[in-house]
Amino acid sequence: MLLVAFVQWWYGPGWRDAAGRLLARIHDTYLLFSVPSLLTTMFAPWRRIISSPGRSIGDRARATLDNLISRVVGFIVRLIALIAAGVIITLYLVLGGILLLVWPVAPLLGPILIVGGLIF
Amino acid sequence: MSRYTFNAGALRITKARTARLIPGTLKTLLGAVAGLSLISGVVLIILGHNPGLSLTGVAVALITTLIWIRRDLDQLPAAAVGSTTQLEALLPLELASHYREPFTAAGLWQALGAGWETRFICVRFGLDLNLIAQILAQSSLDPDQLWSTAEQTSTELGLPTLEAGTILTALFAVSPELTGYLTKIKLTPADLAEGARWVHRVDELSHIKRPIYGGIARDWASGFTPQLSRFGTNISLEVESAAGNLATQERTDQLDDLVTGLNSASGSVVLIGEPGVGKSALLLGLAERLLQGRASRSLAHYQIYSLSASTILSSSERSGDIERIVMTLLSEAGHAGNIIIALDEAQLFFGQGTGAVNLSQVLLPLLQSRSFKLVLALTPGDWQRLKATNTAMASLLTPLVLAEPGQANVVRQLADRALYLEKGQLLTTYSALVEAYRLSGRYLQDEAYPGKALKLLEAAFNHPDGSFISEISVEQAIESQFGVKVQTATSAESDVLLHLEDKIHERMINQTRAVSVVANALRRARAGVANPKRPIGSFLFLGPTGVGKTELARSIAALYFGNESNIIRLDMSEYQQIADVDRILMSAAENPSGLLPRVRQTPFSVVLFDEIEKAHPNILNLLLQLLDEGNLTDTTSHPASFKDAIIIATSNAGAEEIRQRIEAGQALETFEQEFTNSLIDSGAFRPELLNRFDEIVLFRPLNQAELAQVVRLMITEVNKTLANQKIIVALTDAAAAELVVAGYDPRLGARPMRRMVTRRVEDTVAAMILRGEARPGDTITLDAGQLGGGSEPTPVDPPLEV
Repeated sequence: MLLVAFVQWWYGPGWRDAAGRLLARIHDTYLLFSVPSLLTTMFAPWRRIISSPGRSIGDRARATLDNLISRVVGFIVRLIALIAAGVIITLYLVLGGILLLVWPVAPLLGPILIVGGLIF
Repeated sequence: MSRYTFNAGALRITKARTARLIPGTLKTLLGAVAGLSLISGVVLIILGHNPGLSLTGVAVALITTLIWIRRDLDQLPAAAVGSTTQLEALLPLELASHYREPFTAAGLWQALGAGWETRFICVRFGLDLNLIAQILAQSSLDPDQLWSTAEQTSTELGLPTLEAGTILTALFAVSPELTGYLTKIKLTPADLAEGARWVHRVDELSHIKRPIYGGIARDWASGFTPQLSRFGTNISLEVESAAGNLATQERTDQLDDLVTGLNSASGSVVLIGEPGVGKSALLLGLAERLLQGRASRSLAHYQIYSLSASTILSSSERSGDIERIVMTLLSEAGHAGNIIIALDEAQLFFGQGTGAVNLSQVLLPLLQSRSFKLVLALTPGDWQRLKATNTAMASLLTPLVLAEPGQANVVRQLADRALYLEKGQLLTTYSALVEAYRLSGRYLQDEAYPGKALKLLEAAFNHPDGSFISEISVEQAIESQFGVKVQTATSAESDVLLHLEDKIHERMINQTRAVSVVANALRRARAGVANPKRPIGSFLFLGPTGVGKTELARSIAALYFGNESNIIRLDMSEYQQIADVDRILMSAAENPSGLLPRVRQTPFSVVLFDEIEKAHPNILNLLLQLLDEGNLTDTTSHPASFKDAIIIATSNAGAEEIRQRIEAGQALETFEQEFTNSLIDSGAFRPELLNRFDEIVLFRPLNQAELAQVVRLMITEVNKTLANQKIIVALTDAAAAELVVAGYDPRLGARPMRRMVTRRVEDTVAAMILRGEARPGDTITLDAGQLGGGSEPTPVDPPLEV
């Protein structure tokens, strides 16, 4: 009875549960790297460091340059964070995908390997 | 046929029983074996050894099994209440693994006893597991009634499934024997239902997952806030470091309102509530919501900075500094773009209160420009004052009134706090929570719930009762904080109470009737028989001057409250004008030594209204309220409780009549009622006032023999003063008699005797000490002729020593 219960769970709710946990892990990584915030503020000035435009043309030009630099710095830092998040999420997807693919054969894999080791 | 069925062979039950056979340590061991097998297996495969395959296979098999145990066998959710009548689906996991049919109450208790939840409730509520087992062994219960009651309890508590706590509560509710047992230990099934809720909360808190508060880039698009960090406290940082452990319950509606207010056109909210009502806790809850991005899209990941008025005020050195600092802080908040400013003690920013400064002119244009979001915290009185004095400012704020929560809510918050304070070392009993609620309500009247109850519970942790925080701990905390007696009378105290008359007569001469009446009232109060909603006792002492009225009041303070200084005396001749009504109701801020602040500080006191007949009639009306309801409200609308005080009013009204009747040979008891009626008829007192006193106590004038005893008591007092110098003063009978004759005045009673003793005894002794005629170890016996300028006394053995 327990063996039947195991099989029922492993190929039904268990598989779904493993997929759900993988998705949750990816979602947590997505949030941990503030991906939504990074995407919506991609070109925003870094920490709101901006200069107020002055009256003279020179002041205005300097302010524009300052603000441009702030935005570029912000963009670079955010891009690096996004790339890091992308790499980690990709790793999760690849490894998790493999796990989900291996999942159906895992219960058989153990006995096969044991027997195989003994035979060969 | 029973409505609820149980199938022991059901898959869930089989799985639950299997899971029970695998303890946590075995799972850890299996995990370790799997890890080692996997590593060594892989290493052997790499090295080309075939057994590596078998080892890896063992590891895979173990890992597969462990995943099944942890993700399936250990989870097995119960069916929702009302969805089925199959107990194999309804029962919580632990209970399901132990439950056996056929149903017996004792069997169910045995199954329940295996779970931590039952042990938790039994320890916290002082329930005896074995005694309950014995009771249930002899009783039979209707299982259908039990299970339906358990489902009903779960529904009432808002729990989706049956839990061990709700089943335990139902067991006590449907078993008359267990209900009787609860009654004996002053509990009800409703209390146990709160226990079930407490257990659920413990389980919930132990499964809180550390939230993600916006991630690493949360603040990259917001400005730096160096000045806010210097002058304020970042509440959001506190919440972040607590990682979900500050989760507040029962505040969902208020948080919704607060978020709505912050999202409104004005963007600023004023929290209105008494100190302690939970304004700061609400801000913590808001900070948690904002950090998790659950509040609203526009406020997601906002941070709350609390600005302390006192810090800003103390940082200003020159005129205009405060305005400059506040402008800088608010500009910084506006520029940062993700800041909500919380102004605690906000009244100080609007010119109200000690050390306040009026920043309305600075704040108003900033609020109008809506460049930042603001939360103010004000008391109802301060909010009313702000509305009256600064309408423009008030109109820009969305008011959110925070009412005091009820008992059930406060006790739940106390239960939460207790878990936080215990730190695995102490256990808090449920009675301690209820006692903290009750005693804080009674004695901490300057604050509101839940703050005052939480404060008292925290203080109780300094007084552990063994390894528990019990109601005794709470009582000790309030006793050490207030110096008041709230615990049940001990045997020593009981002895004092039982012999109160004798103890009082050690300090007072005669007045046996008055002493007896007062002693009876005090015994009633200490035994818990008196009405708890009124003062402990209220007495009107009537009689001539100098017969012991004030002395009796002092004796009560000393014997009942343990200290003669626990007396608050008001000379009512100073309260003859109508303006004096306000004076008597002054708050602590207006007059710290006023009546109400002193009663709040030392609630267990004798409150003595001397010469009550001289007070303004409106003050007598206040006295009516005090005697009726046991409290008065000060000018700032804060109540002060007199429920632990003894109220004594004294009056000389009708003193001459008392003296004449006593001289005519009448006993006090025979004319008390007639005398009281005559006072009403003469208009000296209104009948409604006299009726509100517990007792009207008549004092008789003292005769010369009694005055001689008074003199001896006074000599005892003189000897106490001289005790440091090791000199004893004694009077012969003749000397005592001479003092009485010289000081006797039937209109003034014993009062002139004090002067006589000072002039004729103390002065004489002082002169002898200064002349070196009295040395340490001497006993000076004064005879009649030696008093006050007579011939020099000689140190001899005293014929009369008092």
